[in-house]
Amino acid sequence: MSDAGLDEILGGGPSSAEDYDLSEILQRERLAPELLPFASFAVEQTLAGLRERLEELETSGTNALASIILQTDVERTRWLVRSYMRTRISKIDRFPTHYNSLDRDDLLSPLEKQYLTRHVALLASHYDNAGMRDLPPQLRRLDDKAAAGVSMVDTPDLDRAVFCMIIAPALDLRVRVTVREDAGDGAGTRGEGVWRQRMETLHAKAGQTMLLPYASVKQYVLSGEVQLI
Amino acid sequence: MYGDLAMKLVADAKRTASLDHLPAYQSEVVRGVVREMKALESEQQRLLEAHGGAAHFDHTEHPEAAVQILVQHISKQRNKRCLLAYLKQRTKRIENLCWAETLDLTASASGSGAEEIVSSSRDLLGPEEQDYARRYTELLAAFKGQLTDIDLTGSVDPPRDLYVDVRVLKDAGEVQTEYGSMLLTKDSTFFARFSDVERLIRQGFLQRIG
Repeated sequence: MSDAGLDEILGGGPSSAEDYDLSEILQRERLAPELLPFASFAVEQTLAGLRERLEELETSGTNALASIILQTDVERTRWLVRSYMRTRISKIDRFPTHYNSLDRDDLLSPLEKQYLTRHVALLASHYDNAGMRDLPPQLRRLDDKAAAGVSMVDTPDLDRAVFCMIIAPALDLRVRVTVREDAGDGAGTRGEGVWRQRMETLHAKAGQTMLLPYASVKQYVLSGEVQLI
Repeated sequence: MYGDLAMKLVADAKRTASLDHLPAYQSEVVRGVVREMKALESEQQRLLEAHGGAAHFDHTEHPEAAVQILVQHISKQRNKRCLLAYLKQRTKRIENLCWAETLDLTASASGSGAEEIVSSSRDLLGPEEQDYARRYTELLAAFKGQLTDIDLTGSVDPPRDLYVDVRVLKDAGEVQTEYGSMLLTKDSTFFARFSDVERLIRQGFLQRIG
């Protein structure tokens, strides 16, 4: 058997590099509280690489070890794309009415948009069948934001805390902090102080890990300057 | 009290959250909640009409009627919320079963071709829910079909071994593997590619050995 290294067998070219990106993309998607824009380029590249691999497998045949390695890589890649798609579907289904009402081109892939539209329609039809059909139109609404004080449309909690690692050399993060201050006049608070919220700037450096509200780091997560861990 | 019946649905939903199967669909209670909502609606209409219609109703002039109308409004919304929470929780479970492909469509005894859906024998779906399960499975199939290379409903665990030894737990007829089609008879064992048999293991037809 030849001394073929792993890189030679796997062809170490663009498709592996894209796989690595998809791995990071998957991690980011899993950790972010809201749905992130669909990484269509990474997914396309990965799928193209996958198809190439599958073709190679059909034609290679003889070298058993190379075949095993290729097959393992195929399974790994399939799992990666599958996880990414399923993580997103799960997040979409968590807040379907909300995502359905957003009018953004970059967020959902065409396939996801189709799934969401059909799923929302299916749910509405099911509720109708279960008995909602007999009710007056105002009561049948599924997007009522003023239903006796509770909005029917849930949205993701953007203030949820996330663990971050700073990638960029230096960042100034605007964070909302809650601090306790003395009431000052002591009127009616027995001098215990009051909780106040205000914006503060955190000076973060590369390599630091922090626990912050997602909303404060959202733009940096999308740009890659902060990594969710 | 308004909303008492709806609380039964909420209690059921809460209980279901800690069960691993779906209890029976409470169609009677659901119908009862809808009936209460309709009754509240017509009462409210009647009251508004009696005071000059919804457009001209002044709550400062008729505070007692206003309170009553408010209570009716809140009760309707509460019933709606409880009902939808119950239905939604169950549809979520049904969807999970569809994704796991452990929903079992068996032909009905009458042989009319109508399909009855039972998942594990302990999941009990109402007729509307069975319809929902059927249609959601179709939706999934359409989605899957666009992404044939990756097997969307495959395992969510990262792959470990390429090939595994499996034992057959129940007779399952013929299945396709990469070595061709095989007849699965109870207690036989064979060596197969994991991604081919993963589904059958999940559905309880096969058991992984070692």
